[in-house]
Amino acid sequence: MHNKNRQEESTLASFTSFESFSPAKKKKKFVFQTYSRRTDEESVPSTTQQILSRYIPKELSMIHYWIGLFLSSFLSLFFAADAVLHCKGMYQDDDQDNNRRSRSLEEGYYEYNDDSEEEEELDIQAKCIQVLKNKILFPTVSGMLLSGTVISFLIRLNGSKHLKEPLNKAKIRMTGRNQSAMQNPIQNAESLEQREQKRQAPLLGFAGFLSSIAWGRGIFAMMLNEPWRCRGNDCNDQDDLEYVFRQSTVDEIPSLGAVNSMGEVGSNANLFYFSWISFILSVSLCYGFTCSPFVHNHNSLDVTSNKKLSMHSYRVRMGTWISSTICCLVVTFVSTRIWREIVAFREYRIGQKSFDDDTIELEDDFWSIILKDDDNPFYSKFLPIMFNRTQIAIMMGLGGTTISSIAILAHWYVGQGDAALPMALWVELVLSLLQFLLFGIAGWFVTGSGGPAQSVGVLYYATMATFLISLRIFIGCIEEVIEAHVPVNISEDDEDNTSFKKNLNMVNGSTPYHSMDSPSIVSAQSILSRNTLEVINYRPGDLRRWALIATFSSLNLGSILDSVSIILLVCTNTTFCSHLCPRLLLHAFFL
Amino acid sequence: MEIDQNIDDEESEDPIDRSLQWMIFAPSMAILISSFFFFLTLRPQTYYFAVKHKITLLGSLINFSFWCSNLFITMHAKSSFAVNGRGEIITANQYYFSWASCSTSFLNFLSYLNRGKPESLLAVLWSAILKISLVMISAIHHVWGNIRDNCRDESIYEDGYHHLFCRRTEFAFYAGYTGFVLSVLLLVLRVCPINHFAVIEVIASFIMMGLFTFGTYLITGIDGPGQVVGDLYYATWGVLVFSLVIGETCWEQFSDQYLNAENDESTYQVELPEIS
Repeated sequence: MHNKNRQEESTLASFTSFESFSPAKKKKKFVFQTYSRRTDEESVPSTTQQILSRYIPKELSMIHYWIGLFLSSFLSLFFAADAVLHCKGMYQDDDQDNNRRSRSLEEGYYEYNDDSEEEEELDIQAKCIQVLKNKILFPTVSGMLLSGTVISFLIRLNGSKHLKEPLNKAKIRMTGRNQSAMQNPIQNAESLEQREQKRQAPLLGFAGFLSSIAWGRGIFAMMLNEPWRCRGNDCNDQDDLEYVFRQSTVDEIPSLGAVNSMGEVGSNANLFYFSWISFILSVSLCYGFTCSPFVHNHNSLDVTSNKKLSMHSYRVRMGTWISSTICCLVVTFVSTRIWREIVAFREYRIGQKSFDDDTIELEDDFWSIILKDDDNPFYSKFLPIMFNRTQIAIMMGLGGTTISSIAILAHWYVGQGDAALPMALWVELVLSLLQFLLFGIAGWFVTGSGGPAQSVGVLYYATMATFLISLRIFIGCIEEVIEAHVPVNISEDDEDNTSFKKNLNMVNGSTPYHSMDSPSIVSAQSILSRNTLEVINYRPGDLRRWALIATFSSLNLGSILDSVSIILLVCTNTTFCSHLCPRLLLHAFFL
Repeated sequence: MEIDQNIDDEESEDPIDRSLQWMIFAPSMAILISSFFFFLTLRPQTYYFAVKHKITLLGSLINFSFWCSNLFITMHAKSSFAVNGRGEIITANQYYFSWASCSTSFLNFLSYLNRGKPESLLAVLWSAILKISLVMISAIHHVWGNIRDNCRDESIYEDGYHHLFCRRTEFAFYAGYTGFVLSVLLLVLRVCPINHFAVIEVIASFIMMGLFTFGTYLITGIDGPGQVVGDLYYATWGVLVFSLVIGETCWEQFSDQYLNAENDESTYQVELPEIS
């Protein structure tokens, strides 16, 4: 209803605004049909923007983030408790699934001694309860208690104003009436509401800090779980063998199914995602109430200077660098953890111990065909790939951590004085480029086939997140450098220069038509035909979409070729190019 | 065992089968097409020529067709590197970039198709549920095809855990088809002029909310068919999120149309005699 009314109003507005420079009646109608949609888009955002602006408030101080933390902590506890109830089932899944997939094996292979089975069940159940008590109960209950306390405190202090505020703001944003206020964050910071929030910030920041500590401990305990390995003199070869091939499910118990020993998402994916959501929300709230105002105050010294620098960008980028550091640390820890597993496996292979084929029961997919082949030199060729790529992951994590730490120092130096500003910005730019290249190239090997982050897991998400963060920082730095080199006499307040820049951008195709003011439209109308204006409106979006499709398709193709190269290397003992070029290209493309 | 051995022999002779050839061919063609149109869009003159003669629409349709077929093969072929027989992700890059390419191609095609036409928020949301339900149904078929024989075996009733797995998979079937049917129904009814359509829509949205709040636990919980990360897991959570958004939007619409309207009407009736 509201949207329809807004569309009608905006359509009417567009008709009246374009009426003045379209003398002919037919032309006027055409112009109306052509341009009215763009005006509609200005007032009514896209569906995604509507949903995001409604449910994700921009300010971290909003009570909705605390409610999110409470819910995610509660759901983590709920799914962990669910896993404890099904703990026996989680363990038996491996056997039953293998039983399903390999019915042709001799009967009785999966029969257990009843007594030993009962003992094993009790043992597993006790282990699961122990894991719940030691690792998961503390962060979830702490998160719920802290967020619940903050929510009740905020409601008691401010009434239900906080609950309604984001929705009202979203509605105002959708109608486009609050655009001028949103464009100037510095003025927003001086509002009464912001001052109230600053008074509450230390208490809320302390709650966020405690929550992030609790969840950091919980995440560390869950995601870097100790494998359930047979140790000591009582172990025999059979135990080792079972460990090697059943570790992916058995080792999920120390994290209640969140991850396996390789850090991949286990059979309880809900616990994995909600734990990480809780941790990220806690750290964001901690940063939002402690570090962010402090950095903002430091940088606000430069607001009075004539330099074209966005303090908001600096404040956000400090948080982005901290996120990058955390992700790099996660990459280092998890890849080191995997390294130990791979080394154990490799040592086992070097020991020349033979495998019994009947015990090898893997997934019913392409990999299993290779693994079931007795004469296949899979292990001798596949393991070195895994070995090398895990080494690359460790180096990548360490390098990323070093770069991020230096960048944080350089970034911190920005707030100390104007003279250091250009140098610090250039250092940050170079460091972000280095990190982008490091995680682009090394990350390709790590997340590719045979790499430790081939499947979805902590290492995969951390690598991808660092790659995207470094790309975002690099782009942000370039924007800052460009703004820093804009001459001082061209300011945002200067109407002539603003309209000049808009016309310039419009001709270049970087500014949509609907963002221009009326004199610009008239002048543009005189020099550009209406077809050209239509082209200008749609062209940037189309350009972005085609570029995205090409990029995603290339990455997908590269991933397939990477897998194919390993398969060919293992199966046919030939290198990828010598096999691919004569056969695949001719066969696939022409036949 | 003999069957497995035959497969081994066959595959060892020909590791690159037809599906794999298509998985290489289709993205290659998509890269060529998208690069061509990217360079075409760089210059305004060529871009306007392509838009005017519907060349871009045709190109986006071909690109989307390539990606649809490739996505289907990638997610269901035996020789796929992306997922295994149970729909679990093996090679994450291939899985995520396949979905990203297909989604972007679809949005690109829609942008050329619906250019200049206004969009309704609820219609977009119901369409999203329709598409995600299709993905969900496809994923359940994939899982069900692998466990069907075992679930029909009577001995499965002796094992509580696997009996539960089969029951939950059946429930996922019904939930997926319910989402599909309801979304199609609402989209069709949206075109027809019906009185009290908002009431029907709010009831349908509440059914979806209830069904998938309960269903997400059953499907993605332990012993559910979507407990591991894959198509079914993401699709179930996606339908739940969209159902909640639709529920809230429909309730707002309903309250605007009926609850608030009654209040307005009552005040208006009081004022009417004074005006007359």
